[in-house]
Amino acid sequence: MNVATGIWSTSGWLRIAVHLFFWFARMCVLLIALQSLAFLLFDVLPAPEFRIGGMIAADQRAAETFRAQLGLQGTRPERYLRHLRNLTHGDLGLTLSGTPVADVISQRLRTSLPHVTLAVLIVALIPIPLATLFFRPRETGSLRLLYKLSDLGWLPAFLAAVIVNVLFSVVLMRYLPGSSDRWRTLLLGFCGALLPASTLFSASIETARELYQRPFVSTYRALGLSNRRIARLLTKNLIVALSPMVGRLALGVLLGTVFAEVAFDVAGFGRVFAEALRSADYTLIAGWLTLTGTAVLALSPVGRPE
Amino acid sequence: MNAPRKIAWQCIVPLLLLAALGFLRPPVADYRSAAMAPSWSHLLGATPSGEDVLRLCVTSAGVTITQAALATFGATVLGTLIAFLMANIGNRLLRGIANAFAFFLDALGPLIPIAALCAVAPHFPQWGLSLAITALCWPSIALPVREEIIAVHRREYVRASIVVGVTKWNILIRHVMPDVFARLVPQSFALFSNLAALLAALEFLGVKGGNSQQLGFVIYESSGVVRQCPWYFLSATATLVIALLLARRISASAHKPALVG
Repeated sequence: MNVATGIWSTSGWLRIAVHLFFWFARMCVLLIALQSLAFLLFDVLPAPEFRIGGMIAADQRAAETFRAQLGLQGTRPERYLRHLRNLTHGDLGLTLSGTPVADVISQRLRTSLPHVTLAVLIVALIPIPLATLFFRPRETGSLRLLYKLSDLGWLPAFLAAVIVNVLFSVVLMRYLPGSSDRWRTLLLGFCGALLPASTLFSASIETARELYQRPFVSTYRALGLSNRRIARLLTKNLIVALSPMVGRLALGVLLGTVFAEVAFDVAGFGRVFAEALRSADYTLIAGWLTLTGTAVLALSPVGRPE
Repeated sequence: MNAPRKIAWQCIVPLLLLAALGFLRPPVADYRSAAMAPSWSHLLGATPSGEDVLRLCVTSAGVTITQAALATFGATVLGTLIAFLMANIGNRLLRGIANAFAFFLDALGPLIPIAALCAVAPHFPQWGLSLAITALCWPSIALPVREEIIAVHRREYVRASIVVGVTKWNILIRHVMPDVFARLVPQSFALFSNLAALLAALEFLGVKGGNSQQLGFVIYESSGVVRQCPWYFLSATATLVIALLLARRISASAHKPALVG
Protein backbone atom coordinates (compact mmCIF):
# COMPACT_ATOMS: atom_id res chain seq x y z
CA MET A 1 0.00 0.00 0.00
CA ASN A 2 1.23 3.48 -0.73
CA VAL A 3 2.28 5.06 2.55
CA ALA A 4 0.97 8.51 1.63
CA THR A 5 -2.48 7.15 0.76
CA GLY A 6 -2.50 5.22 4.06
CA ILE A 7 -1.82 8.32 6.13
CA TRP A 8 -4.22 10.70 4.37
CA SER A 9 -7.17 8.29 4.24
CA THR A 10 -10.02 8.58 6.81
CA SER A 11 -8.52 5.89 9.02
CA GLY A 12 -5.18 7.68 8.70
CA TRP A 13 -6.70 10.94 9.98
CA LEU A 14 -8.33 9.02 12.81
CA ARG A 15 -4.99 7.50 13.75
CA ILE A 16 -3.36 10.93 13.78
CA ALA A 17 -6.22 12.33 15.92
CA VAL A 18 -5.91 9.43 18.42
CA HIS A 19 -2.13 9.85 18.49
CA LEU A 20 -2.49 13.60 19.13
CA PHE A 21 -5.09 13.00 21.83
CA PHE A 22 -2.84 10.57 23.67
CA TRP A 23 0.13 12.89 23.21
CA PHE A 24 -1.87 15.76 24.70
CA ALA A 25 -3.12 13.62 27.61
CA ARG A 26 0.41 12.38 28.36
CA MET A 27 1.67 15.93 28.08
CA CYS A 28 -0.90 17.14 30.68
CA VAL A 29 0.01 14.32 33.09
CA LEU A 30 3.73 15.02 32.70
CA LEU A 31 3.22 18.73 33.15
CA ILE A 32 1.22 18.24 36.35
CA ALA A 33 3.88 15.80 37.59
CA LEU A 34 6.61 18.32 36.80
CA GLN A 35 4.72 21.13 38.48
CA SER A 36 4.05 19.04 41.57
CA LEU A 37 7.72 18.08 41.79
CA ALA A 38 8.82 21.71 41.43
CA PHE A 39 6.24 22.82 44.00
CA LEU A 40 7.33 20.13 46.47
CA LEU A 41 11.00 20.94 45.93
CA PHE A 42 10.47 24.58 46.78
CA ASP A 43 7.78 24.17 49.40
CA VAL A 44 9.22 21.34 51.49
CA LEU A 45 12.74 22.73 51.66
CA PRO A 46 13.35 25.97 53.63
CA ALA A 47 11.70 28.88 51.82
CA PRO A 48 14.47 30.73 49.99
CA GLU A 49 12.78 34.13 49.87
CA PHE A 50 13.47 34.67 53.58
CA ARG A 51 17.18 34.56 53.10
CA ILE A 52 17.05 37.73 51.05
CA GLY A 53 18.03 40.76 53.07
CA GLY A 54 18.37 38.74 56.27
CA MET A 55 14.66 37.98 56.36
CA ILE A 56 15.34 34.75 58.20
CA ALA A 57 16.25 36.73 61.27
CA ALA A 58 13.33 39.14 60.81
CA ASP A 59 10.18 38.94 62.91
CA GLN A 60 7.33 36.60 62.01
CA ARG A 61 4.96 39.38 60.90
CA ALA A 62 7.42 40.82 58.39
CA ALA A 63 8.01 37.33 57.04
CA GLU A 64 4.24 36.73 56.67
CA THR A 65 3.80 40.05 54.84
CA PHE A 66 6.64 39.19 52.51
CA ARG A 67 5.14 35.76 51.81
CA ALA A 68 1.77 37.40 51.08
CA GLN A 69 3.45 39.81 48.65
CA LEU A 70 4.91 36.85 46.81
CA GLY A 71 1.54 35.06 46.87
CA LEU A 72 2.81 32.30 49.19
CA GLN A 73 0.27 32.69 52.01
CA GLY A 74 -2.11 29.92 53.16
CA THR A 75 -1.67 26.22 53.83
CA ARG A 76 0.29 23.96 51.52
CA PRO A 77 -2.74 22.48 49.63
CA GLU A 78 -4.18 25.99 49.22
CA ARG A 79 -0.90 27.24 47.83
CA TYR A 80 -0.66 24.28 45.47
CA LEU A 81 -4.19 24.75 44.12
CA ARG A 82 -3.66 28.49 43.74
CA HIS A 83 -0.37 27.78 41.99
CA LEU A 84 -2.10 25.46 39.48
CA ARG A 85 -5.01 27.90 38.98
CA ASN A 86 -2.63 30.81 38.33
CA LEU A 87 -0.69 28.67 35.93
CA THR A 88 -3.77 28.06 33.79
CA HIS A 89 -4.10 31.88 33.49
CA GLY A 90 -0.44 32.25 32.52
CA ASP A 91 0.39 33.85 35.87
CA LEU A 92 3.81 32.60 36.98
CA GLY A 93 3.98 34.80 40.10
CA LEU A 94 6.31 37.62 41.13
CA THR A 95 10.09 37.71 41.33
CA LEU A 96 11.87 38.81 44.51
CA SER A 97 12.12 42.32 43.07
CA GLY A 98 8.33 42.38 42.56
CA THR A 99 8.28 42.12 38.75
CA PRO A 100 5.95 39.52 37.19
CA VAL A 101 7.94 36.43 36.20
CA ALA A 102 6.15 36.23 32.84
CA ASP A 103 7.29 39.79 31.99
CA VAL A 104 10.91 39.09 32.93
CA ILE A 105 10.97 35.89 30.92
CA SER A 106 9.27 37.38 27.84
CA GLN A 107 11.66 40.34 27.89
CA ARG A 108 14.68 38.04 28.13
CA LEU A 109 13.25 35.76 25.44
CA ARG A 110 13.21 38.69 23.04
CA THR A 111 16.95 39.19 23.63
CA SER A 112 17.68 35.50 23.13
CA LEU A 113 15.45 34.97 20.11
CA PRO A 114 18.08 35.68 17.37
CA HIS A 115 20.77 33.34 18.66
CA VAL A 116 18.33 30.63 19.81
CA THR A 117 16.75 30.67 16.32
CA LEU A 118 20.20 30.43 14.81
CA ALA A 119 21.11 27.50 17.09
CA VAL A 120 17.88 25.67 16.19
CA LEU A 121 18.53 26.28 12.48
CA ILE A 122 22.09 24.97 12.77
CA VAL A 123 20.88 21.79 14.52
CA ALA A 124 17.98 21.28 12.12
CA LEU A 125 19.74 22.02 8.85
CA ILE A 126 23.38 21.00 9.13
CA PRO A 127 24.07 17.60 10.80
CA ILE A 128 21.69 15.30 8.89
CA PRO A 129 22.39 16.70 5.38
CA LEU A 130 26.11 16.69 6.20
CA ALA A 131 25.92 13.07 7.29
CA THR A 132 23.99 12.00 4.18
CA LEU A 133 26.32 13.99 1.94
CA PHE A 134 29.53 12.54 3.32
CA PHE A 135 28.43 9.08 4.33
CA ARG A 136 29.78 6.22 2.26
CA PRO A 137 29.66 2.48 3.05
CA ARG A 138 33.46 2.60 3.25
CA GLU A 139 34.95 5.28 5.46
CA THR A 140 36.53 8.13 3.55
CA GLY A 141 39.08 10.63 4.81
CA SER A 142 36.59 13.51 4.90
CA LEU A 143 34.06 11.43 6.83
CA ARG A 144 36.72 10.37 9.33
CA LEU A 145 37.70 14.01 9.82
CA LEU A 146 34.07 15.05 10.38
CA TYR A 147 33.58 12.15 12.74
CA LYS A 148 36.61 13.21 14.74
CA LEU A 149 35.30 16.77 14.86
CA SER A 150 31.87 15.62 16.03
CA ASP A 151 33.58 13.56 18.71
CA LEU A 152 34.36 16.90 20.38
CA GLY A 153 30.77 16.72 21.61
CA TRP A 154 32.10 15.20 24.86
CA LEU A 155 33.47 18.64 25.74
CA PRO A 156 31.14 20.15 28.36
CA ALA A 157 28.89 22.84 26.87
CA PHE A 158 30.03 25.42 29.42
CA LEU A 159 33.71 24.81 28.62
CA ALA A 160 33.08 25.10 24.88
CA ALA A 161 31.20 28.39 25.47
CA VAL A 162 34.01 29.79 27.65
CA ILE A 163 36.71 28.81 25.14
CA VAL A 164 34.77 30.34 22.23
CA ASN A 165 34.16 33.52 24.25
CA VAL A 166 37.84 33.85 25.17
CA LEU A 167 38.91 33.20 21.58
CA PHE A 168 36.40 35.79 20.36
CA SER A 169 37.15 38.51 22.88
CA VAL A 170 40.94 38.10 23.02
CA VAL A 171 41.96 36.95 19.55
CA LEU A 172 39.24 37.12 16.90
CA MET A 173 37.64 40.48 17.69
CA ARG A 174 40.65 42.35 16.33
CA TYR A 175 40.52 40.64 12.94
CA LEU A 176 36.80 40.17 12.30
CA PRO A 177 35.16 42.76 10.01
CA GLY A 178 31.78 44.37 10.70
CA SER A 179 30.01 44.93 13.99
CA SER A 180 31.06 42.81 16.94
CA ASP A 181 27.41 42.41 18.02
CA ARG A 182 26.59 40.47 14.89
CA TRP A 183 29.58 38.20 15.40
CA ARG A 184 28.61 37.76 19.02
CA THR A 185 25.08 36.65 18.03
CA LEU A 186 26.60 34.24 15.52
CA LEU A 187 28.94 32.75 18.11
CA LEU A 188 26.17 32.53 20.70
CA GLY A 189 24.11 30.52 18.22
CA PHE A 190 27.13 28.39 17.41
CA CYS A 191 27.80 27.67 21.12
CA GLY A 192 24.14 26.80 21.70
CA ALA A 193 24.15 24.37 18.78
CA LEU A 194 27.60 22.83 19.24
CA LEU A 195 26.74 19.94 21.55
CA PRO A 196 23.35 18.93 20.05
CA ALA A 197 24.66 19.26 16.50
CA SER A 198 27.66 17.04 17.16
CA THR A 199 25.43 14.48 18.93
CA LEU A 200 23.00 14.51 16.02
CA PHE A 201 25.81 14.14 13.49
CA SER A 202 27.28 11.11 15.31
CA ALA A 203 23.82 9.55 15.62
CA SER A 204 23.11 10.21 11.92
CA ILE A 205 26.31 8.46 10.87
CA GLU A 206 25.56 5.48 13.13
CA THR A 207 21.98 5.23 11.83
CA ALA A 208 23.11 5.62 8.22
CA ARG A 209 25.60 2.79 8.79
CA GLU A 210 22.77 0.58 10.05
CA LEU A 211 20.45 1.60 7.21
CA TYR A 212 23.09 0.74 4.60
CA GLN A 213 23.01 -2.87 5.76
CA ARG A 214 19.27 -3.24 5.09
CA PRO A 215 18.15 -5.43 2.16
CA PHE A 216 16.40 -2.59 0.29
CA VAL A 217 19.72 -0.74 0.01
CA SER A 218 21.21 -3.84 -1.64
CA THR A 219 18.29 -3.69 -4.09
CA TYR A 220 19.04 -0.02 -4.81
CA ARG A 221 22.65 -0.97 -5.48
CA ALA A 222 21.62 -3.85 -7.69
CA LEU A 223 19.48 -1.41 -9.65
CA GLY A 224 22.59 0.67 -10.21
CA LEU A 225 21.72 3.72 -8.11
CA SER A 226 24.66 5.93 -7.22
CA ASN A 227 25.77 6.35 -3.61
CA ARG A 228 24.59 9.96 -3.63
CA ARG A 229 21.13 8.97 -4.88
CA ILE A 230 20.88 6.22 -2.25
CA ALA A 231 21.92 8.70 0.44
CA ARG A 232 19.20 11.09 -0.71
CA LEU A 233 16.62 8.31 -0.60
CA LEU A 234 17.74 7.34 2.88
CA THR A 235 17.37 10.89 4.27
CA LYS A 236 13.69 10.34 5.01
CA ASN A 237 14.40 7.07 6.85
CA LEU A 238 17.16 8.83 8.74
CA ILE A 239 14.84 11.64 9.89
CA VAL A 240 12.19 9.15 11.04
CA ALA A 241 14.77 7.04 12.89
CA LEU A 242 16.26 10.09 14.63
CA SER A 243 12.99 11.81 15.53
CA PRO A 244 12.96 10.42 19.12
CA MET A 245 16.01 12.61 19.72
CA VAL A 246 14.08 15.88 19.26
CA GLY A 247 13.48 16.45 22.97
CA ARG A 248 17.08 15.72 23.88
CA LEU A 249 18.30 18.06 21.16
CA ALA A 250 15.98 20.81 22.42
CA LEU A 251 17.44 20.32 25.90
CA GLY A 252 20.93 20.50 24.41
CA VAL A 253 20.15 23.80 22.68
CA LEU A 254 18.61 25.15 25.88
CA LEU A 255 21.58 24.25 28.07
CA GLY A 256 24.02 25.43 25.41
CA THR A 257 22.19 28.78 25.37
CA VAL A 258 22.33 29.04 29.18
CA PHE A 259 26.09 28.49 29.23
CA ALA A 260 26.75 30.63 26.18
CA GLU A 261 24.83 33.57 27.66
CA VAL A 262 26.63 33.23 31.00
CA ALA A 263 30.02 33.01 29.26
CA PHE A 264 29.30 35.92 26.87
CA ASP A 265 27.56 37.93 29.60
CA VAL A 266 24.35 38.41 27.59
CA ALA A 267 21.20 39.16 29.59
CA GLY A 268 18.99 36.62 27.82
CA PHE A 269 16.61 33.79 28.62
CA GLY A 270 19.40 31.41 29.62
CA ARG A 271 21.22 33.86 31.85
CA VAL A 272 18.03 34.60 33.77
CA PHE A 273 18.12 31.01 35.07
CA ALA A 274 21.69 31.45 36.34
CA GLU A 275 20.72 34.77 37.96
CA ALA A 276 17.68 33.18 39.60
CA LEU A 277 19.84 30.35 40.92
CA ARG A 278 22.39 32.73 42.37
CA SER A 279 19.77 34.90 44.07
CA ALA A 280 17.62 31.87 45.06
CA ASP A 281 14.58 33.47 43.43
CA TYR A 282 11.92 30.80 44.08
CA THR A 283 9.25 31.98 41.70
CA LEU A 284 11.62 32.83 38.87
CA ILE A 285 13.27 29.38 39.02
CA ALA A 286 9.84 27.70 39.15
CA GLY A 287 8.58 29.80 36.20
CA TRP A 288 11.67 29.09 34.14
CA LEU A 289 11.42 25.37 34.96
CA THR A 290 7.75 25.34 33.97
CA LEU A 291 8.37 26.94 30.59
CA THR A 292 11.45 24.97 29.64
CA GLY A 293 10.11 21.71 31.09
CA THR A 294 6.90 22.11 29.09
CA ALA A 295 8.81 22.83 25.89
CA VAL A 296 11.21 19.92 26.31
CA LEU A 297 8.56 17.45 27.48
CA ALA A 298 6.24 18.52 24.66
CA LEU A 299 8.96 17.70 22.16
CA SER A 300 10.15 14.51 23.89
CA PRO A 301 7.26 12.20 23.00
CA VAL A 302 6.99 13.51 19.42
CA GLY A 303 9.19 10.86 17.92
CA ARG A 304 8.41 8.03 20.28
CA PRO A 305 7.74 4.94 18.18
CA GLU A 306 4.09 3.98 18.48
CA MET B 1 48.27 -7.57 31.54
CA ASN B 2 46.45 -6.94 28.22
CA ALA B 3 46.74 -3.62 26.40
CA PRO B 4 43.30 -2.07 27.19
CA ARG B 5 43.64 -2.92 30.87
CA LYS B 6 47.12 -1.38 30.88
CA ILE B 7 45.74 1.81 29.34
CA ALA B 8 42.93 1.87 31.91
CA TRP B 9 45.42 1.59 34.77
CA GLN B 10 47.66 4.22 33.22
CA CYS B 11 44.68 6.58 33.27
CA ILE B 12 43.35 5.64 36.71
CA VAL B 13 46.69 6.38 38.42
CA PRO B 14 46.87 10.08 37.44
CA LEU B 15 43.20 10.55 38.35
CA LEU B 16 43.77 9.02 41.77
CA LEU B 17 46.92 11.11 42.19
CA LEU B 18 44.99 14.26 41.31
CA ALA B 19 42.24 13.38 43.79
CA ALA B 20 44.80 12.58 46.52
CA LEU B 21 46.75 15.79 45.88
CA GLY B 22 43.53 17.76 46.01
CA PHE B 23 42.61 16.05 49.25
CA LEU B 24 46.02 16.64 50.83
CA ARG B 25 46.33 20.21 49.49
CA PRO B 26 50.05 20.37 48.63
CA PRO B 27 51.99 23.10 50.41
CA VAL B 28 53.10 24.90 47.23
CA ALA B 29 50.95 27.97 47.81
CA ASP B 30 52.81 31.20 48.03
CA TYR B 31 50.67 34.31 48.26
CA ARG B 32 52.08 37.31 46.44
CA SER B 33 50.51 40.67 45.90
CA ALA B 34 50.04 40.44 42.13
CA ALA B 35 49.68 38.06 39.21
CA MET B 36 52.89 36.35 38.16
CA ALA B 37 53.83 34.65 34.91
CA PRO B 38 54.97 31.01 35.12
CA SER B 39 58.44 30.63 36.60
CA TRP B 40 60.48 27.99 38.41
CA SER B 41 59.05 29.03 41.76
CA HIS B 42 55.46 29.03 40.35
CA LEU B 43 55.32 26.50 37.56
CA LEU B 44 51.91 27.63 36.27
CA GLY B 45 52.13 31.22 37.49
CA ALA B 46 49.98 32.98 40.07
CA THR B 47 46.45 34.44 40.03
CA PRO B 48 45.73 38.21 40.33
CA SER B 49 45.05 37.62 44.02
CA GLY B 50 48.49 36.03 44.31
CA GLU B 51 47.52 32.38 44.70
CA ASP B 52 49.63 29.72 43.08
CA VAL B 53 47.78 28.46 39.98
CA LEU B 54 49.17 24.92 40.23
CA ARG B 55 47.93 24.55 43.78
CA LEU B 56 44.56 26.07 42.92
CA CYS B 57 44.05 23.79 39.90
CA VAL B 58 45.13 20.65 41.75
CA THR B 59 43.03 21.44 44.81
CA SER B 60 39.90 22.36 42.89
CA ALA B 61 40.28 19.39 40.51
CA GLY B 62 40.75 17.14 43.54
CA VAL B 63 37.49 18.40 45.06
CA THR B 64 35.58 17.95 41.78
CA ILE B 65 37.03 14.49 41.14
CA THR B 66 36.42 13.30 44.71
CA GLN B 67 32.83 14.51 44.64
CA ALA B 68 32.20 12.99 41.20
CA ALA B 69 33.81 9.72 42.32
CA LEU B 70 31.62 9.64 45.44
CA ALA B 71 28.46 10.20 43.43
CA THR B 72 29.54 7.63 40.82
CA PHE B 73 30.31 5.06 43.50
CA GLY B 74 26.92 5.67 45.13
CA ALA B 75 25.04 5.47 41.82
CA THR B 76 26.95 2.32 40.80
CA VAL B 77 26.30 0.48 44.06
CA LEU B 78 22.65 1.53 44.24
CA GLY B 79 22.07 0.94 40.53
CA THR B 80 23.66 -2.52 40.59
CA LEU B 81 21.69 -3.57 43.67
CA ILE B 82 18.42 -2.40 42.15
CA ALA B 83 19.33 -4.05 38.83
CA PHE B 84 19.86 -7.40 40.58
CA LEU B 85 16.55 -6.96 42.39
CA MET B 86 14.73 -6.06 39.18
CA ALA B 87 16.27 -8.94 37.23
CA ASN B 88 15.83 -11.64 39.86
CA ILE B 89 12.58 -10.67 41.55
CA GLY B 90 11.10 -9.06 38.44
CA ASN B 91 9.75 -6.17 40.46
CA ARG B 92 7.50 -4.12 38.17
CA LEU B 93 7.30 -1.22 40.60
CA LEU B 94 11.10 -0.82 40.68
CA ARG B 95 11.27 -1.04 36.90
CA GLY B 96 8.52 1.56 36.60
CA ILE B 97 10.35 3.91 38.97
CA ALA B 98 13.62 3.38 37.08
CA ASN B 99 11.92 4.06 33.75
CA ALA B 100 10.19 7.18 35.08
CA PHE B 101 13.52 8.48 36.45
CA ALA B 102 15.22 7.64 33.16
CA PHE B 103 12.48 9.45 31.20
CA PHE B 104 12.73 12.64 33.28
CA LEU B 105 16.53 12.44 33.20
CA ASP B 106 16.38 12.04 29.44
CA ALA B 107 13.96 14.93 29.07
CA LEU B 108 15.34 17.41 31.60
CA GLY B 109 18.87 16.17 32.22
CA PRO B 110 20.41 16.04 35.69
CA LEU B 111 21.76 19.59 35.63
CA ILE B 112 18.52 21.57 35.88
CA PRO B 113 16.95 19.68 38.85
CA ILE B 114 20.23 19.57 40.78
CA ALA B 115 20.90 23.25 40.11
CA ALA B 116 17.39 24.08 41.40
CA LEU B 117 17.98 21.90 44.46
CA CYS B 118 21.30 23.61 45.21
CA ALA B 119 19.69 27.04 44.82
CA VAL B 120 16.94 26.19 47.28
CA ALA B 121 19.32 24.64 49.79
CA PRO B 122 22.60 26.55 49.39
CA HIS B 123 24.04 25.19 52.63
CA PHE B 124 23.87 21.70 51.25
CA PRO B 125 27.01 19.84 52.37
CA GLN B 126 29.34 18.29 49.83
CA TRP B 127 28.24 14.74 50.67
CA GLY B 128 24.60 15.87 50.40
CA LEU B 129 25.14 16.97 46.82
CA SER B 130 26.81 13.64 46.01
CA LEU B 131 23.83 11.89 47.59
CA ALA B 132 21.35 13.95 45.55
CA ILE B 133 23.23 13.10 42.35
CA THR B 134 23.29 9.43 43.36
CA ALA B 135 19.53 9.50 43.96
CA LEU B 136 19.00 10.97 40.51
CA CYS B 137 21.53 9.06 38.40
CA TRP B 138 21.18 5.43 39.55
CA PRO B 139 18.89 4.43 36.62
CA SER B 140 21.71 5.12 34.15
CA ILE B 141 23.53 2.17 35.78
CA ALA B 142 20.53 0.05 36.82
CA LEU B 143 18.82 -0.24 33.42
CA PRO B 144 21.82 -1.42 31.35
CA VAL B 145 22.99 -3.76 34.14
CA ARG B 146 19.51 -5.30 34.35
CA GLU B 147 19.58 -5.87 30.58
CA GLU B 148 22.98 -7.55 30.91
CA ILE B 149 21.82 -9.82 33.75
CA ILE B 150 18.75 -10.90 31.77
CA ALA B 151 20.87 -11.45 28.64
CA VAL B 152 23.32 -13.64 30.59
CA HIS B 153 20.47 -15.69 32.09
CA ARG B 154 19.14 -16.36 28.57
CA ARG B 155 22.44 -17.78 27.26
CA GLU B 156 22.51 -21.48 26.54
CA TYR B 157 25.41 -22.37 28.80
CA VAL B 158 23.69 -20.67 31.74
CA ARG B 159 20.46 -22.55 31.01
CA ALA B 160 22.48 -25.75 30.76
CA SER B 161 24.06 -25.00 34.14
CA ILE B 162 20.60 -24.57 35.67
CA VAL B 163 19.45 -27.88 34.17
CA VAL B 164 22.57 -29.67 35.46
CA GLY B 165 21.75 -28.34 38.94
CA VAL B 166 24.33 -25.62 39.53
CA THR B 167 23.20 -23.45 42.41
CA LYS B 168 21.95 -19.90 41.88
CA TRP B 169 24.89 -18.55 43.87
CA ASN B 170 27.43 -20.38 41.68
CA ILE B 171 25.74 -19.11 38.50
CA LEU B 172 25.86 -15.60 39.89
CA ILE B 173 29.56 -15.80 40.75
CA ARG B 174 30.76 -17.75 37.69
CA HIS B 175 28.61 -16.41 34.86
CA VAL B 176 26.65 -13.32 35.80
CA MET B 177 29.16 -11.28 37.79
CA PRO B 178 32.04 -11.33 35.24
CA ASP B 179 29.79 -10.15 32.42
CA VAL B 180 28.07 -7.58 34.59
CA PHE B 181 31.43 -6.17 35.69
CA ALA B 182 32.60 -6.05 32.10
CA ARG B 183 29.67 -3.76 31.38
CA LEU B 184 29.69 -1.94 34.70
CA VAL B 185 33.25 -0.60 34.55
CA PRO B 186 32.93 1.38 31.30
CA GLN B 187 29.43 2.54 32.32
CA SER B 188 30.73 3.77 35.66
CA PHE B 189 33.66 5.65 34.18
CA ALA B 190 31.42 7.21 31.54
CA LEU B 191 29.10 8.29 34.35
CA PHE B 192 32.09 9.60 36.32
CA SER B 193 33.17 11.70 33.36
CA ASN B 194 29.63 13.07 32.95
CA LEU B 195 29.31 13.83 36.66
CA ALA B 196 32.67 15.61 36.80
CA ALA B 197 31.49 17.79 33.90
CA LEU B 198 28.11 18.28 35.62
CA LEU B 199 29.71 19.41 38.90
CA ALA B 200 32.00 21.80 37.05
CA ALA B 201 29.00 23.17 35.13
CA LEU B 202 27.07 23.70 38.38
CA GLU B 203 29.98 25.66 39.84
CA PHE B 204 30.20 27.65 36.63
CA LEU B 205 26.54 28.62 37.04
CA GLY B 206 27.27 29.73 40.58
CA VAL B 207 25.64 26.92 42.54
CA LYS B 208 27.59 24.39 44.56
CA GLY B 209 27.48 21.99 47.49
CA GLY B 210 29.83 22.67 50.37
CA ASN B 211 32.34 25.46 50.74
CA SER B 212 35.29 24.08 48.80
CA GLN B 213 36.22 25.77 45.57
CA GLN B 214 35.74 23.58 42.52
CA LEU B 215 37.10 23.56 39.01
CA GLY B 216 34.00 25.15 37.43
CA PHE B 217 34.32 28.27 39.54
CA VAL B 218 38.07 28.48 38.86
CA ILE B 219 37.35 28.37 35.11
CA TYR B 220 34.63 31.04 35.48
CA GLU B 221 36.94 33.25 37.51
CA SER B 222 39.92 32.75 35.22
CA SER B 223 37.89 33.59 32.09
CA GLY B 224 37.22 37.02 33.60
CA VAL B 225 40.94 37.81 33.93
CA VAL B 226 42.14 36.10 30.78
CA ARG B 227 43.82 39.23 29.40
CA GLN B 228 45.65 39.85 32.66
CA CYS B 229 46.86 36.29 33.23
CA PRO B 230 46.14 33.88 30.37
CA TRP B 231 48.18 31.11 32.08
CA TYR B 232 45.50 30.92 34.79
CA PHE B 233 42.71 30.29 32.27
CA LEU B 234 44.80 27.84 30.22
CA SER B 235 45.82 25.84 33.28
CA ALA B 236 42.29 25.63 34.71
CA THR B 237 40.79 24.60 31.36
CA ALA B 238 43.55 22.09 30.69
CA THR B 239 43.09 20.49 34.12
CA LEU B 240 39.39 19.82 33.48
CA VAL B 241 40.02 18.62 29.93
CA ILE B 242 42.75 16.23 31.12
CA ALA B 243 40.56 14.83 33.91
CA LEU B 244 37.65 14.27 31.52
CA LEU B 245 39.88 12.76 28.84
CA LEU B 246 41.41 10.33 31.34
CA ALA B 247 37.95 9.19 32.48
CA ARG B 248 36.80 8.78 28.88
CA ARG B 249 39.93 6.84 27.99
CA ILE B 250 39.35 4.44 30.88
CA SER B 251 35.72 4.01 29.81
CA ALA B 252 36.74 3.31 26.20
CA SER B 253 39.59 0.93 27.03
CA ALA B 254 37.58 -0.98 29.63
CA HIS B 255 34.74 -1.51 27.18
CA LYS B 256 34.51 -5.16 26.19
CA PRO B 257 32.27 -6.04 23.25
CA ALA B 258 29.26 -8.07 24.36
CA LEU B 259 29.26 -11.76 23.57
CA VAL B 260 27.25 -12.75 20.56
CA GLY B 261 24.13 -14.76 21.29
